[in-house]
Amino acid sequence: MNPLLEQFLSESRESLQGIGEKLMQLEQEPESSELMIELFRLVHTLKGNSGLFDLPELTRVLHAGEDLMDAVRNGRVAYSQILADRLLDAMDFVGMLCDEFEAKERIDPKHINISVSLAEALRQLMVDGRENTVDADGQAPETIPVEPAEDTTCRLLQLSALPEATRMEAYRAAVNGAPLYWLAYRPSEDCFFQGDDPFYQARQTPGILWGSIAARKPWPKLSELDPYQCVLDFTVFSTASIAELEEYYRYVPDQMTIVPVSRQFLILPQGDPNGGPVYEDFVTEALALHSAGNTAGLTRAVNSMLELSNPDLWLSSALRWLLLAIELEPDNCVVAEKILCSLRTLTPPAWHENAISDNRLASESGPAPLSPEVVSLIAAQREILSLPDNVGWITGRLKAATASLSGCLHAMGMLESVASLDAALEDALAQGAAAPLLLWLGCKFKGIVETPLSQLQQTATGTTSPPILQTQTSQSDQSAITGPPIRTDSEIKFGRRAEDAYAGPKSIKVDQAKIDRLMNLIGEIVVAKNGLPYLAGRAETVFGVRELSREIKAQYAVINRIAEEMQDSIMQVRMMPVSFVFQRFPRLVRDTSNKLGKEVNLILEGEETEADKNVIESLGDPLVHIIRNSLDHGIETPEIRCTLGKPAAGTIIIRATQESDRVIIEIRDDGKGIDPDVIKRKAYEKGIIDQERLERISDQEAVNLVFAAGFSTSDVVSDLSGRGVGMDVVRTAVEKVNGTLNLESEKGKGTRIRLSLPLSMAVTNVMIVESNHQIFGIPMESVLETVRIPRADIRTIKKNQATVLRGRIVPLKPLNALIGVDVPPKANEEDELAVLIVNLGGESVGILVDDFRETVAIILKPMTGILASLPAYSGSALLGDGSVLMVLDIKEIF
Amino acid sequence: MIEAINGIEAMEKSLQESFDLYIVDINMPKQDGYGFLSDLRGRDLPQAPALMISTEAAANDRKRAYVAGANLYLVKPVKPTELLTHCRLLLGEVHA
Repeated sequence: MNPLLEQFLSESRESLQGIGEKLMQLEQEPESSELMIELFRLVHTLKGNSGLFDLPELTRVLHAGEDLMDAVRNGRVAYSQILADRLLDAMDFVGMLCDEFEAKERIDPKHINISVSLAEALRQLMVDGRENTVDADGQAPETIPVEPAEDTTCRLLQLSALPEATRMEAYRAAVNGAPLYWLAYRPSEDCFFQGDDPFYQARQTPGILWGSIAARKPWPKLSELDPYQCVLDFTVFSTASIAELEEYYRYVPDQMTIVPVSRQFLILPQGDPNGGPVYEDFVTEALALHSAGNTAGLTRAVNSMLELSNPDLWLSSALRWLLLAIELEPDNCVVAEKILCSLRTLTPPAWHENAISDNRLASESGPAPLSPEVVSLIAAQREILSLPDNVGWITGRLKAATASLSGCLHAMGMLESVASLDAALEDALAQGAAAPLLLWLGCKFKGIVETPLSQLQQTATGTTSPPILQTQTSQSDQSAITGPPIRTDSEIKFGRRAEDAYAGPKSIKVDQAKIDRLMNLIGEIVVAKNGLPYLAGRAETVFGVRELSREIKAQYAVINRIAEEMQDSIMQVRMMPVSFVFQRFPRLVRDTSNKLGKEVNLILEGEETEADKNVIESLGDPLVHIIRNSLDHGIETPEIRCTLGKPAAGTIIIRATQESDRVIIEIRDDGKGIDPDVIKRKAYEKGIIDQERLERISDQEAVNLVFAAGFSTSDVVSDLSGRGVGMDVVRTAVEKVNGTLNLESEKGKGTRIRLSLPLSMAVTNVMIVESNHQIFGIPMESVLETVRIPRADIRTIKKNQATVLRGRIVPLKPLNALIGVDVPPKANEEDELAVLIVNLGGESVGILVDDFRETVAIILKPMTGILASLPAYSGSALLGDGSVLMVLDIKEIF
Repeated sequence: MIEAINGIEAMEKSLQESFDLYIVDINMPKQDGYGFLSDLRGRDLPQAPALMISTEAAANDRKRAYVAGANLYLVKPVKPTELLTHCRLLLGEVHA
């Protein structure tokens, strides 16, 4: 999959999660405008990203969500439960699409219906909300979101930096069919080291008409200046074709922004506005001549006017443009008319105004009134216009697309935009390329349909404003490359839009496989380093070089320290906060309790507690099971709770804490608890316990029977009001990561489940014991103590051996017997037997071994292949001397 | 509303009178929708918007339709109201 897409998907998931969280928080404090803004930002980012890919279904829903949140943020629509519900639905849908897109790299078109209905549902809220506000206030609120300055137009305004002669030349060229491109070239700072010569590169740009250089930031003091860094921005105005330019800049495409320019935007009269708009008579006369089609008369009138005026006047400049337009495009009446009209006001010609006012109009009326159909139509035209221009029927395509857009404009009542569209079409037809129309689309519907061009601009100019100075005068020589003028700080800072300023967490994303590989390598180092003491031993005993042995040991100490630190750091990398699994519970509890008609407060504590990623991930499903059970069967309905004298709303507390090297997760509810008698009876009926056990079993033990395998069958569920559904699944999942769990319940008061999990599964501490000349590992978490017991103190009760340890009877088993070796355990010189006391399901049991050895940290590798069928071993590990240590699974051998 | 049963016939009728909107099916005998549209767009005729309807929803088919000269690509089943809204938009009719 392409990396951009991968990034998009992973970011989307993050955003979705964030949106979910924010909605939950918003439910707690619906007035918080901060949360709403954050929420809007998340939806907005997500939508923006989705626009990069061809995911119309996704974008549609997100767009509706964005509009809705925008309205909420601005107070046009009130936050409500139903709003949260619909938004959550929409986000679930988006999440589903992301999953599907990741799996199949495409989205099934059947989703289009859902997508449309979801988007409509969201927009419906907006309409409802607005009606409500209108009713309440008697008038529509006039909150107009302050949009950042229109990007494209801004850029085009920079054209005023070009000398008039250059612009006229460009205009001339454009009328003759040459394309016009505005190039912003921002060489990377270390470009000199990559063999680039930006200055030469920029000067040699094909079709260059004009260029400028500007410093990116104010020049530092000479003493601090690093002359080996390129801190300049180059701007070039060219008439070469896009293919030529791309070819020319092919080695630095990421440093280039190439923007097509419509030739009308070059008509920017400049000069002294003195004299004011006193030429009304002239304008009226000229317009009359113009509409009469009397080009010769108009030219004469303009010429005589021009002779009378000071050439530095704004008026003269406009007239020069007018003459040029008449000369070059006698048929294009729009241009001449616009210039003439502009004489009245002495403001730059109308297409700029048009574009700007249309923009404002579009943002004033808001994107809201645009129905999905309009959006899809415009998006379709954008797609059509973005297609390669190299087909024979390009003219027809341009006309048809314009006709479609024009239809839309008429339908939406945006008649004032039709003129600029027509102008763009004429341009496009003249160039035989779709660029001018695309540009028009970008200007007009920027917020609605991101054109690829504007995206290009945004990505390339993300942090700074275009590098051209407004202060450049029109007198400067056309080919001159102006020196580096000084720019103020603020220009650079505020070129960035407020929404972009959000600083993400300082982290990098790494594929888990890479971490796992690192982990394995560390494991190997740990094992390899353990070979050194063995080597030192051999150096001394076999080769008799004590000095060398000592040096090896010293070196070993160093390597050992580094290896341990490394191991520790890698563990830290894999650590994740439990909030990773906790964060889905508010939603789960909210949805489930709503469905069941119960009121439940969920309290999360210790979310920042960390544990290994694998452990955390394995926690998810068991916890969901437990919480569902609590909700479904633990917490009573509000009515019952009231009659019992409990608060109407039940409480579920999930608390995570760290105890030495374990993570403890406690789930506690104040529901009705579990009746041990029912469990006992059921367990007996199911054959899980026998008659004898039934009589002896304590209540505490009884409730823990719900974790027994085979306990969760359907008839038990119904009789037992479901407690125990899937609880054996929970147990299995927890035990898989070497965790334990324990349940305490008091009838009528509530239930408490305690999960104890290792912090990390990567390194296991085992104690090595010897038995029958073999060594075995026993996981330290089950080892309670090691004792030596005189043979005389061992009694035999009913064929079973036992001893009394500090007043408690401890059953004893020889390890040899447990693994099927018929050799009695050896005693030491004082006739004492080595006993390893282990914890077996809460009870102490002694294992008779021959001798104890040290404890070691090992990387436990699970048994694979044919060995995997040996349940007595939980895995194997390599020891320093290269031998293999088999690690016993205590639960299995008894 | 003028109907044509295939691309050839549609072209003949387009040459005789001018239309405000084309609704084109892809699968037609003799000349399909793609062929008709690219032919139409290549001629010096008034270029009305064209709406293409198809059962194929893959992005490639949509792109092919756009390349050929369609202005909107709808996937069957198309709701009558949806079709009507789109037609109205393309024809520039103000919403009632």
